[in-house]
Amino acid sequence: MLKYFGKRLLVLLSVLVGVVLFVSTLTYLIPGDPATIILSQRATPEVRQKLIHELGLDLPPLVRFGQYWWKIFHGDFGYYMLSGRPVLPEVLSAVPYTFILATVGIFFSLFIGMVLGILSIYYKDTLFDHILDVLSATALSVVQYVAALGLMLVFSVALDWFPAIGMGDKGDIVGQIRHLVLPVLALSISWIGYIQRIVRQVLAETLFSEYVKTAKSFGIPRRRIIIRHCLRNAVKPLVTVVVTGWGALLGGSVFIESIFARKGLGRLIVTALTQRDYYVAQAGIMVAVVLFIIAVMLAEIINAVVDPRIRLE
Amino acid sequence: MGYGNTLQNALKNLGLRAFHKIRKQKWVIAKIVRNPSAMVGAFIVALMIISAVFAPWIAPHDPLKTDIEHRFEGPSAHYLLGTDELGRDTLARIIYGARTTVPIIFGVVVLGAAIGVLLGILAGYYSGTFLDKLLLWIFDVISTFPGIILVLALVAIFGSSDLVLTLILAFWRIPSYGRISRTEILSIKNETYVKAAEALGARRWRIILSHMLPNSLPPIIVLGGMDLGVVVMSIAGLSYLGLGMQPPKPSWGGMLSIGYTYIRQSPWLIIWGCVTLVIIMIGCSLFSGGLRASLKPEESLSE
Amino acid sequence: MDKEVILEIRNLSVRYRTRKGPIMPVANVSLRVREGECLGIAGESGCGKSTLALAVMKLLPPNARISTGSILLNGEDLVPLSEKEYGRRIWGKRIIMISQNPHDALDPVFRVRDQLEEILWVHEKSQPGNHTAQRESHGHEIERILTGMGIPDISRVLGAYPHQLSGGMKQRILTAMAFFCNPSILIADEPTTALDTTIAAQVTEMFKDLMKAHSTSLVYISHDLALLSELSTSVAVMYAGEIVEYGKTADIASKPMHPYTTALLAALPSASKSRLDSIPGRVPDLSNPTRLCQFSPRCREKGGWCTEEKPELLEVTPGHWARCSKFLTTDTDRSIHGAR
Repeated sequence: MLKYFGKRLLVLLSVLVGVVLFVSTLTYLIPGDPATIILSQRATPEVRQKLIHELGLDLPPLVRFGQYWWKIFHGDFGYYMLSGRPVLPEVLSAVPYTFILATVGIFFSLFIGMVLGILSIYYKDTLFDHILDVLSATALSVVQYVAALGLMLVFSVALDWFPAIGMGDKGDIVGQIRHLVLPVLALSISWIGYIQRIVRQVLAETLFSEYVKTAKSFGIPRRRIIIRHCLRNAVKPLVTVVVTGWGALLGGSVFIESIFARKGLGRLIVTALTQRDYYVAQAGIMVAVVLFIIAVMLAEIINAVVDPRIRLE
Repeated sequence: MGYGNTLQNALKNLGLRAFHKIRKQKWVIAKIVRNPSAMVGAFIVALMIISAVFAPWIAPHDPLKTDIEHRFEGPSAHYLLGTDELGRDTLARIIYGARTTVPIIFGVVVLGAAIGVLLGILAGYYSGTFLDKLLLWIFDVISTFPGIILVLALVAIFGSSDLVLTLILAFWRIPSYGRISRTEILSIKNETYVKAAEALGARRWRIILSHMLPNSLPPIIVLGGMDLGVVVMSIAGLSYLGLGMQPPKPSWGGMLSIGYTYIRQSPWLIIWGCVTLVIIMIGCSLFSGGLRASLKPEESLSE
Repeated sequence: MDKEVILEIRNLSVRYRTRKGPIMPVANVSLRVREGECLGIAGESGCGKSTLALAVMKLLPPNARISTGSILLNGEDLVPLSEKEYGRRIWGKRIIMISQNPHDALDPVFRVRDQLEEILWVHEKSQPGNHTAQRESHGHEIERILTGMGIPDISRVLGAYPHQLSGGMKQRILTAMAFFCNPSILIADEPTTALDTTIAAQVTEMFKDLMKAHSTSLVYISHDLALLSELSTSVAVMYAGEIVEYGKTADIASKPMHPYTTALLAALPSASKSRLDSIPGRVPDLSNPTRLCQFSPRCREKGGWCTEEKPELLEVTPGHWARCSKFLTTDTDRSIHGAR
């Protein structure tokens, strides 16, 4: 088994290397000259030259590339263009906020989605099942930002039940939770639809599989079959979907964070990109990708634990 | 015995097969007609396309014409869905929004599918070789980026003109098509009819074009249908962030962004923006579901 | 003195909805199983024997249903019962089925030991008493049955996952599980097909012991008439969803009446033959049922009478029924269904 994981790790690492190469190549394609951006138009050519020399921008490209990688290995991701503060610590400090949002969001969606999926199989082909089918298909179509704006409109502006913006004050747990409600809901709507459908489909498949038929005919009670046999086999597709989704959310809750004015990795990256603050953007992207890859590895580990067929190959 | 000759024959073959498939279309279309949700989906997609093509004839007002006195109005007899922050007619802007968005999404899907499928076929046909592994690795790299981030980064660098947007989004979608077509090719590769063709000495090209490709199309078409919706959402999202369609071009995402800014003045922009996007997404889902049901009847869970 | 009839199937028909239209894999089947005896059901693949078994077990797929007929277990009709009722009273206790396909029949994520223990647990729940003591005796029983099936290296097999075992092994484990549950009626669908002859013989002995020791009634489905003649008291031969011959095994083996049965018997290998006989032609397409005798295209004894109408199942000699036009005479019609 270790060998299997060793191989997978290598492949994923190579993907990471590929991504990082890609990102850094992008950085070099940046139009515009950092020196010009930092200094104003009025600076004289000599001052510009001096800054370029200081930033090491006048060295040949290959040397710059090498220097760049050297710095990264030492944790030096560069500095904010304007403020001069080091980039990496700031980027990393944004991660926990996104982490909370993504994790709460996914767990919430998973819970509700599974419950609804199990219910719809239990009442398969009844009106309830059909209604749920329509609802989840609709929910699927409500993308993050659409949900966010809609929820904000209804529950914040119109009804004033929940705060629209911000994350709540430092010590105020209740306030922080209240600030989480709408963002998490916005994230979850499409996930709940998606998960409900997956759960229902997998359960439907497993319910008519040979081994369930066998178990039934040997007198094993229905509830036990659903929980022990069907669910266990249903875990695999679910795990992949959920964990990789979580990983994607870690880097990409861009819209939610922007709309609800929350701190987080997504928003950081977007602001950096729009403000052309490339070192920040680059560092942010790399952190996001690393987190995603960790999530993918996690998904594979869980899959292998749950499904012995993978483990023992 | 020219290479050109073989290619000619292969294309003729492909054409013949396409002709037969189109004759089968009646059957496919009949299946869609029998399926109510697919009909709804098809209707919505058709509506979107019609709005895009016939916008100048359908829209009740000029989407760019401002009417400051009547800004932020709700639905009225004159402005059916209300007006935006500059008094422009919302309905007209929604219809013209289709006109700006639709060409891009079709461009993205066609381009992304074409390149993705081509690469996927290569990967599948030469599976196990270095080429296959390389292609898969490329697919992995592209898809390991959280989608928004990838697109955002590329837009920030390359700008957001229509052409650039199309290229970037197509680039983003390539891995999905690549993987699916690779999987299809892998399973088709071992089918008897392929082996028979090989045994008869048919050249690789021919086999790929006339046998493997047509038979692997169904899931790709289904994915394409779904992708229409996904790409619409991405474009709208980009426009929301200011990185997609630039004002004053009418765009759905832009409408949402303005709606957000002026949320206290008028809820209507957000309402209509959200409604439009949700309807389009539902339409594309239903449509692609209908395509799946009619192209692969064994997989639809009817009765 | 005939033993009591424990299971009676009357005029059972099963209907499937398919894309090509409805098909009837089981058409108007009537059978009787007596306590402690074995009823063999013979026929080629596709003749409806497995569907019949599934119908009795209420395990038909969602697009199939029993369109007519009744299934009487000790006089009680099972057809109107719900799945819940089956779960409470029938499955695992009164009737158990060993399916033909061992490959997916065991849950791939659990070890064999766990699945056996699950059966144990269910069995315990339905029997009051001291559970731990019962467990121990169950453990011995499992070992006895598994060894009886010819399974070597029991601890390895118990600790394995289904995908690590061969088809024949899985089939035997399923059979063992069924034996362990001790049902009144055991329906076995080709339990020895995947096994080699020596093991198959061992398993067949186990079946005989089961019937003798526990008075279990057995419905044994197989295409192997030789095996059936060894094991079963009565035999029903099915073709294209219908019973074409039915009666005591001894009678049928010595005096087969339906041409199909004759052909099947002739196809059995034996020491005296240098060539194997086969039955030319193919099984009919059930989506296009004919009003004539289904077997006539392949029948060696076809005569003028076969182009008229489909023959009914007639009791040609007492206790021996056949569905063939050769036995049709105007005044000796006695239908197995009794008065209509």
